[in-house]
Amino acid sequence: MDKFDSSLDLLRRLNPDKISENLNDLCTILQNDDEIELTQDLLSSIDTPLKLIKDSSNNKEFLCCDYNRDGDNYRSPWTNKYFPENEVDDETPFPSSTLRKLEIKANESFDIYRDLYYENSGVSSVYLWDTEDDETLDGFAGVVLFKKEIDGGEGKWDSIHVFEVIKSGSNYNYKLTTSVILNLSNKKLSCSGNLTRQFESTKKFTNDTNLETFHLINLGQLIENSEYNIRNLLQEVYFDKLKDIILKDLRNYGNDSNELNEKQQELIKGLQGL
Amino acid sequence: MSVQLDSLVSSLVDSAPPGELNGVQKDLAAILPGQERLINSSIESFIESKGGLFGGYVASSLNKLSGSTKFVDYVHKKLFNIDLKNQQAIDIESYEPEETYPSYYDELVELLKQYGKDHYPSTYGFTVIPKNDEVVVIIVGQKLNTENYYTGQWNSVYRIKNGTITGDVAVDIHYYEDGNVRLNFNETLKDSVTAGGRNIVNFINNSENQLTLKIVDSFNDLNVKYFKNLRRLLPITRAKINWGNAIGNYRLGSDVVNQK
Repeated sequence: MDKFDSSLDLLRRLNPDKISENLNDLCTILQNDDEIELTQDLLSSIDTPLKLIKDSSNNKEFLCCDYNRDGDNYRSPWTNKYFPENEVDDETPFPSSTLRKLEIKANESFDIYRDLYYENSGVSSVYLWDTEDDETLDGFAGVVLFKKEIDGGEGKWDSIHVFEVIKSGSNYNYKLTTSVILNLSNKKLSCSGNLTRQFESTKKFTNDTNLETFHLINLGQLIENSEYNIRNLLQEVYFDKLKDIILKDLRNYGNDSNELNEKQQELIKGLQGL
Repeated sequence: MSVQLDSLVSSLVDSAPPGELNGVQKDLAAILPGQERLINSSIESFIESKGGLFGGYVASSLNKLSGSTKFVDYVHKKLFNIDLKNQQAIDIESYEPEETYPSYYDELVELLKQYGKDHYPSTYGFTVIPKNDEVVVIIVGQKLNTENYYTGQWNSVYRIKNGTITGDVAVDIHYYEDGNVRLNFNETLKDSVTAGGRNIVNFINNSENQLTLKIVDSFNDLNVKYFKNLRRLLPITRAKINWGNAIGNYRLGSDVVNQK
């Protein structure tokens, strides 16, 4: 394996709770001249908990990732300006004006989604970028981000949905990669990590609606479904698989386990309630 | 750089899953060619501080022979080195420890063997270390299930001294199918105990059973307090969202409710 694959393999093994520190350490180790590109590739392919920056023109927070970054500055989805410094030149990336219109509406829609699913808390941000030169809505890509923390970080959720839209005939194909970073901990037990899954859908465009609304509906449904699926999957891994590994693979309670069964029933009941 | 490199590698190794040290070593060797010695020394420190199981032999800083690379197996009166790649004990040789064994030593060893059969369904290892006025029991339960993408280790260290028993239990699980999820559970125990094989193993059994119940309670706690409150399975309406132009109605609705 080359250095890049070995680095990915290493980060897949090491404690995900320390992913930001481990990634940083690894990039410090890989500092030869021929490794600059390698560290850049690592930084853009590893998901770490999202950072928040304040858009000082309206005091609203937004989420930072590699897709809204230019050097040390990040583009705000609310005002299309860069923060902390709005240093703009010809090289600074912005979506085309057609795509920016869609981006504004996508931010409004997913902000409502965030209210409904994240119970009026957390932060959402949507960033779009052009993948074709024609500045139409026929081909583009984007990322939808959500972040929520409770109780001073004892419960943390970051979801990262990266998608690409490709037109083929009158169909539009949506390819989505969803990753959720979920950390849960109390004084004794901590479960932390991330799961990633891919989703895809193809929709036929008819002229019943405009193309902008068509994309908003399809992306909305696709991401709503993927997040529903991955939340179920996280529940299964965190509360079912990990518990079973302890009870069935590592240490058996023994014969007299009425009390254990009752506690497990209680947990199952707690998971079933909405 | 070398001093710094040393601490960077140690800090990476420090968060390794106990059952995957071999893989971690291979990855680091590919990332840092020519630094095998430095990498191996970090991995050895990890094993000594967290304890490891090598073909039934338990290795830890508590049974490391001073001034040597070898570990002492006080139960079988042997010395051994560890072979990380094959997860085995190697270079095994006879050894006559100088430490005085307590009178109940053999009984304790027999009971711990049975305890493993009764409660540790996967790979099991233990050792009993006599140390002047203290007796140390180390128990390791391990499951390396790479076909199903997980590895896990249960590690308990008990110290019996002057009628008191203390315990440190650490559970560490790595689950990595299309992701990377880690569980850590840590608990310390303390109680009085009358020295003797039966009393010690009864204490261990009762404590570890109580601990298992505590783990299930903790899962429930994490769900009720955090998981449920991070993201709902469905909105309060219990229906998926009506996307498109109508989505603004939700906000309209909530604004009316919240009297904004």
